[in-house]
Amino acid sequence: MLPESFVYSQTSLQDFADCPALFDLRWRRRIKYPAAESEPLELVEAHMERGALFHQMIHQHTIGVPESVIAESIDDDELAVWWANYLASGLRGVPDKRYAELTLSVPIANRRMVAKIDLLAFEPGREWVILDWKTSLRRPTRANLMARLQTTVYRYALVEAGAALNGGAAIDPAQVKMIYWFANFPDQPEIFTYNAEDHAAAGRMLTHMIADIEQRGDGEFPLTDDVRRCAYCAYRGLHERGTKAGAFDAQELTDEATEMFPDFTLDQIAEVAF
Amino acid sequence: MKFKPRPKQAEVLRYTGGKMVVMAVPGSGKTRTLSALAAKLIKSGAVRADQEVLIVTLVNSAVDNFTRQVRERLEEARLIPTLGYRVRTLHSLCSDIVRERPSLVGLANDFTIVDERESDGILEEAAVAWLKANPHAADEFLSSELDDQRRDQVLREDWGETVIDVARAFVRQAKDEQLTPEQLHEKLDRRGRGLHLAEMGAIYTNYQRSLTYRGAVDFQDLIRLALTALERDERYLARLREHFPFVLEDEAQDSSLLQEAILRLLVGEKGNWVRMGDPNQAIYETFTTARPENLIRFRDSKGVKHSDLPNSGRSAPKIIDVANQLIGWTRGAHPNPVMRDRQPLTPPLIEPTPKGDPQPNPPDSDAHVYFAPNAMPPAEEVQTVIQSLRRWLPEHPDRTAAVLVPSNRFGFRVVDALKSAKLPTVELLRSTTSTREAAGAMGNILQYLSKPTDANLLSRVYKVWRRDDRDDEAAASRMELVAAALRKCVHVEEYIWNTIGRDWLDESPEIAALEENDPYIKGHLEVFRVMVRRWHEAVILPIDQLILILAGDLFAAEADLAIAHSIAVLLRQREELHPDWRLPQYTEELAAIARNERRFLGVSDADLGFDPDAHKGKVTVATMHAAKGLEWDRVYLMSVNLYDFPSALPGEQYMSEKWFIRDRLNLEAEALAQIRALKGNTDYHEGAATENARLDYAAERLRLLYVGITRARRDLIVTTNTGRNGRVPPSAAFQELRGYVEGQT
Amino acid sequence: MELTDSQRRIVDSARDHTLFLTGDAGTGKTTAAVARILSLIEQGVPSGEILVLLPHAALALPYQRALRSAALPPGAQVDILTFGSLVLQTVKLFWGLAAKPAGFQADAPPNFLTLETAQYVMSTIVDPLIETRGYFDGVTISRNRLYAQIVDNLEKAALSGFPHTEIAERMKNAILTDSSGAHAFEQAQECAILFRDACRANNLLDFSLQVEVFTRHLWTLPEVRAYWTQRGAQLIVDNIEEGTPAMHRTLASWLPSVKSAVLIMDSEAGFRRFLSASPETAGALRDRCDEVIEFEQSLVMSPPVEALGDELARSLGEYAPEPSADPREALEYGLRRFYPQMLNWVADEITLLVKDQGVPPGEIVILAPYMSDAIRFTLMQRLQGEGIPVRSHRPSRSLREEPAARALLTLGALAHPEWGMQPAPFDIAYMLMQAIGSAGAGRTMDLIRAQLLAENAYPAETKSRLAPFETLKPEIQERITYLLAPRYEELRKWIEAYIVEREQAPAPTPTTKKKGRKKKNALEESPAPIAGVRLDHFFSRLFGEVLSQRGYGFHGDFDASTAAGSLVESAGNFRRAFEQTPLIPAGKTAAEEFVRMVDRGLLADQYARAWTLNDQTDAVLIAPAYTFLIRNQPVTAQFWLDLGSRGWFERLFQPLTHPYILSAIWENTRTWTDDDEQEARHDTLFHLVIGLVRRCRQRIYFGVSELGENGSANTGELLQAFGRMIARLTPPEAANEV
Repeated sequence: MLPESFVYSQTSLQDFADCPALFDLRWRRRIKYPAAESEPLELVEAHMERGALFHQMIHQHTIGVPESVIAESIDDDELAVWWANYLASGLRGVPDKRYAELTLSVPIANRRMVAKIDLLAFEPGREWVILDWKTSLRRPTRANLMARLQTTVYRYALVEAGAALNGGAAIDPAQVKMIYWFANFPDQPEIFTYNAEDHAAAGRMLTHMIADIEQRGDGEFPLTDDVRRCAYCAYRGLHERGTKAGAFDAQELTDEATEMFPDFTLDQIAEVAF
Repeated sequence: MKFKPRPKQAEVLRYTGGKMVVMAVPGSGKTRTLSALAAKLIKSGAVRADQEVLIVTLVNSAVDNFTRQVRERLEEARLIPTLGYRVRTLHSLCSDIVRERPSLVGLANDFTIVDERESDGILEEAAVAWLKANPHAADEFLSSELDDQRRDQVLREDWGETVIDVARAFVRQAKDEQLTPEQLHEKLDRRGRGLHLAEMGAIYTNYQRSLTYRGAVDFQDLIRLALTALERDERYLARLREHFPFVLEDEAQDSSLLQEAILRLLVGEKGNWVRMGDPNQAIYETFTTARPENLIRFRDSKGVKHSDLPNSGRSAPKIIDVANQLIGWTRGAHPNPVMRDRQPLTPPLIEPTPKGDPQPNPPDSDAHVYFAPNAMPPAEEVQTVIQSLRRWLPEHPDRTAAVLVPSNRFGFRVVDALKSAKLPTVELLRSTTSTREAAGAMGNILQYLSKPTDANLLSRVYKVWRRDDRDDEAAASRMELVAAALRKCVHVEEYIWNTIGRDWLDESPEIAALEENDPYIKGHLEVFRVMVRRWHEAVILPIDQLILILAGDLFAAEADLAIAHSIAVLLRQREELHPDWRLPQYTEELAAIARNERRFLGVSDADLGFDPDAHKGKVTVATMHAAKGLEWDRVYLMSVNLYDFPSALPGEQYMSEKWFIRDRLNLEAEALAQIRALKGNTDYHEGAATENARLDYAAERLRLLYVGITRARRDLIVTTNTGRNGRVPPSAAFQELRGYVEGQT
Repeated sequence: MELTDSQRRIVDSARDHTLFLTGDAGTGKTTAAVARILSLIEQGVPSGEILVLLPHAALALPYQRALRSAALPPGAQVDILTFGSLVLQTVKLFWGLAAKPAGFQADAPPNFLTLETAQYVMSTIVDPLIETRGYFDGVTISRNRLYAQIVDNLEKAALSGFPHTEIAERMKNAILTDSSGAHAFEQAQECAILFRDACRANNLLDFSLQVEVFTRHLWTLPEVRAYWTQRGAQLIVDNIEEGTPAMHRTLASWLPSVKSAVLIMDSEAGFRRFLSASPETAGALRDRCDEVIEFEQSLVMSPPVEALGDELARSLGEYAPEPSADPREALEYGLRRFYPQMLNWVADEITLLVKDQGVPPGEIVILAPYMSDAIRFTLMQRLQGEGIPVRSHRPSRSLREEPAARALLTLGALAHPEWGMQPAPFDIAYMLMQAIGSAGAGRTMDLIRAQLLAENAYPAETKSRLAPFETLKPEIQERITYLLAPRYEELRKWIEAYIVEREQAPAPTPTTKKKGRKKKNALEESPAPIAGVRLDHFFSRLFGEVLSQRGYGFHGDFDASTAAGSLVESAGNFRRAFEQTPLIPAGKTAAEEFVRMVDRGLLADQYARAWTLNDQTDAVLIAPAYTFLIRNQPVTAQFWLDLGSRGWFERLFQPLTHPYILSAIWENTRTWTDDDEQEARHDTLFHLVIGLVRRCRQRIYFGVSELGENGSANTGELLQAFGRMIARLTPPEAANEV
């Protein structure tokens, strides 16, 4: 059973889409299984840290920390390149009202679903742009991005939450677009527009998917048939699908900012043994 | 049970306040009188609902006794039987005082108290380190008469042990004198060289640092720190005074200076303090600051009331006579004039109970006093006693008997001999109890688990599991047969963790043979196998969980389960002190509890309160020390020779005076003298302490003999032996009393 | 849910108004606050402007439930933050603005220390002083405690708002001690200052530095204020009595710029004083609010429970009104001789409650001031044996106690012979049992075969290398079985290969420490992957490639894999914190230091299973009394164990720290006397008892055993008060029957 307080996100939904068994272990049963997910770990870690830092720098930039101060914290070349790319083209043509690191939370199928948006840039009544920063080494294809639940979940959540962001008025789906911006390919962003029909379809799809998950019981979360994925999955040993982790540089996308590092809502101070 | 006080006891019970000393003879009803007094004070309303009478006594078993008796008195009075009083030993009182305000003395509230075994271990480490750092320390002390070969041998075999003994006494004394390692060093530095033994202070420093590092204190620290806490916060002291309006002290003759100081503080100048004791039973003074004279001095000081309890209904008059004769002889005719002056034994003399007393003395007509005519070699002495018991025991199934010996070591020999003579024996050398049995049972299993490939150990585990079978002849013989079969299971894994097609139960000829008479044997051993497997899997769990799992399988009685729970908690604490411990160390720990080397705080009642009357028709073996407070119908006192009961005259041998030390110095005594000289800034004269220690020892041994004699109700049999070298004469007291008894008949 | 009139007032109060809401536990304050949040959103307040701020995470549950319910309208997520996470987020986001003025390097990122990693830093300062200069001879305390207390003192200074250089002076002025005690205070002060210096030099921030950077250098900046004023325009702060002076000061300056705020205070609480909770400074916020509302009526306690609470209060010498109901209806007690008997009584009563009376297990809690593992284990076994779900809150447990973590550490030592940590044969055997599995006969490594293998394949001569299976005597090989052999071999070869690979890899180039360090481009960098030891990576690989595979012990053993996960996280945190710092002694690696710290019990499995407690709600809870209190969730039935324990009234005494003397309200000229101690103790006991009663709906069961857990009799004040109460409530004849 999913915990009472469970909230869906694009990550968990993507896991379910990729492999129901993965969803079961990671989200339903919350099993820690600390196998390496891709190799070499040294590079993966450095890349992840850099990606997280990059997201944070943009966050700082958005809330008014001076550019010079931000720049001072850069201590590696690749990050410097990304930052320069971002300043040059990351925000090209987007409206100047902005929220960074905005988490939207919408009810769906008797549950809630959240979307943690890197940057929302908007001009009420005209345009609502979701920006997502990607730092992966390879640039995924448009088809791949289209198929990712992130694209669906973010646009859907924005329209659903619209009234609360837009002074009580709904957001017209046609005014929404989502931009994936690639730090390593600054001039090749991928842009997805949206409309009412898409929104209705997304709602149906997500509702159906969540309802499907909710009605499943133990043993009803089968393994994916796509065995290639398993190299990148920590649970591969459990399912006898390989020993070595997959190669990092062959991977298309990594979730550098989301849910990689434990969030510090837990108290730093351990309960003293009373 | 109703308590009807004798006139002298009633006099004590009339006490309402102030300071009072009660000198009580053996068997005069100290516990009953003092607990009746406590109950009376509570009933009279002299103690408010938020106050308590404090009763301080010497040992844990006495705590239990007092608690029971006060409770009975209060129940009779229809009062809540648990409120209004607190019974403590000095250690537990100090523990209370410190635990209440640990930060006053630099402690956290979960500080650990290391017991004697643990502290000995730490001390040994410190001593060994010191020996390494001071390879030539022995030069100063070894006898110049030793040739090189003997000298090397001593250095190899004896010197280390001696240093540890000296250090142990040293640390204890330093703490009793409230001297920290730093202060000691400071004083030594100021004094310059010359006090070589005091230089062992380095061991003290190291020892104390090891304790500190563990967040631990030892028993001496506890007392020292309690005193510090009381002195440091006057508001705290005032609160405790308020809380304990009356302090009743038992066995006051054994109070050390520190104990007296603590109680004096708690009582305050105008407080209420009853000190009950018997200076003649002071037998715990060696290397402590306790002196029976202290109580006598207190009795004679200003404003202190005084009362005696001279009547004792315990012994037959002729035994009382012997005890009184010992007192008189010591004061008037002891061969050593210095001893006569010291008065190791003092009045009051024992008086039989007055007519009409509910507890009259056993009649002389049914009593015997016998002193063996001559000294025998030790083995013969033991056989003589056994012969006597072999005749007496079957004829007196409802009477009690004890053999009392001067030392544990001798006691073990007696026990072995009694057992091989198949006489029903109870061992009180260091008590035998359910705690020991429970610990022993679990220790056996841990030992097996630390060597799971060993069939002999597995076989023993089986016997532990089936230990109740011992009481039934048929079951016992099956148990032995199965155990024998298990010993032959060389590849234990083929039984416990059998693989498909390979099961010792099916393949063993021994099992096949057993099965002919016992068709259920395989099923029985499968049950055993399942249980052992569970234990195997539990070895990787934390030790407390392992113990609880074992206990669940082994014990049904609530008391045993409670002991197991306490042991689990205890071992868990050990684990925190010793993260590197594995099963062998825990096994050893359980073995130590089973051997009773550990003073296992807690699990009180199962362990304490030895009741001789529960062992009728059997013989109890105990040291004279351990027999204090107990009584038997027939008592044998053994080994009353000049070595165990010296007169402090020239030519006698003393345990503490080692043959390899120059001038036969008693190094422990000399070390303590050096500490005292440092503390008091006085001169130190080598040899004086050795001499004085002899006198102290001889005096204490006389009191020990007195205690031994006064354990007997009807029969007293005293024997002596010629010692290990075959040349030790009977003690002077023995000769005197033998003469006295012969003169009477 | 139906709201009371007073709750309605909170919900309906204006959106430009600040409220101070106070009342006892169980009067519906939090419920009112939750309802207000819903109402705000329904009225069109942007949900991104609503912020719930709490002193600590355990209080979040009711808010989480409400905010994660599907009934809440869509919008930006309403954030729930603890004060600690607010501080941390601020420091992270605005680091660049504070680093230089606060004495750090602005060109390197901040490195946040956990309680454990902070203790490691402290150990690098304290240990040499103890060893070379005999520091801390005057206090009896274990090393781990020593580190923890000095770290704690720094936190107290930061949270209470006095200079950290004033700690020793305060302690010396107040505590009755001698010169060696005073020395210890001075030495602790010196170490605290050195610790600060070391942190500044390495951009390390323990919690105290986070708070100081936040309060002194960031909260004063307009950018920071603007950011939080926007995120927390509508502020809800609950349980402010558990908050610290630093939090209260932050609130005081925040309030003027919010649109609305509700500050909620439990009037008889403040349980976390030892963590600098300050009900006094919380209460002072009352005057800064537009309106004060008091809740009086308990919505939790039945009248008999309320009467029982009054009886207990009376027994503790407090004033209480005459009861209007019969307290005996809310009272059960079991008096047993031995502790395990009392535990059995508890289990029996709970079984009756659940099976016969249909009380949901989640509505039952078992409480004691201290909960030993032995109690926990016994009760869990008993209840689970009855089929009753049970959960237990374990504060944290040392990593070295987890068999799975120990097995990994043994493997780590085997794979790094250069550390010279030769594992004991016992550890090898247990590692083999854990690694190759221990469930089911014949198919996995049992204790006997593990021991045989350890004895034969790991003799002293091999110097911590495992021998190949084929080199064992044939008889031994056969006994261990050829079924297990390949698995042993695979594990052994993996480690051998790892060792060989590292021996052949070029020596790691020494990393330039601190300043001027520039990471190279990731793709060009490609260091020899295994050259420098990254222990967390080592564990991850070993786990993924061998131990989690079929035939190995971690395969499908989720308790073991979770413990392994904690170890990996802990090793990673440790490495990332210290790898680049000069705190790691020369010639050692962070990996070795980590293993050493685990061995010393300094590192605990902090995060493990923290979530299970929040999620699995319908289970009997076994918890220390304070843990239950600060979770703030009422239940139907409570079981109180160990009434005689001192833990009910005693604060944690630590020789080098003091919750009152190192607090905001202490006058630095006074002496802490026994009267203060008594008063504090009485307050503690009274508040604890009343706090528990107010969180009980129906009945309290008192479990009393004559002999306590360690076998000796306890007679603490609660037991005495309980005895007085029973004597009053039951006539003597009835009492005799018990």
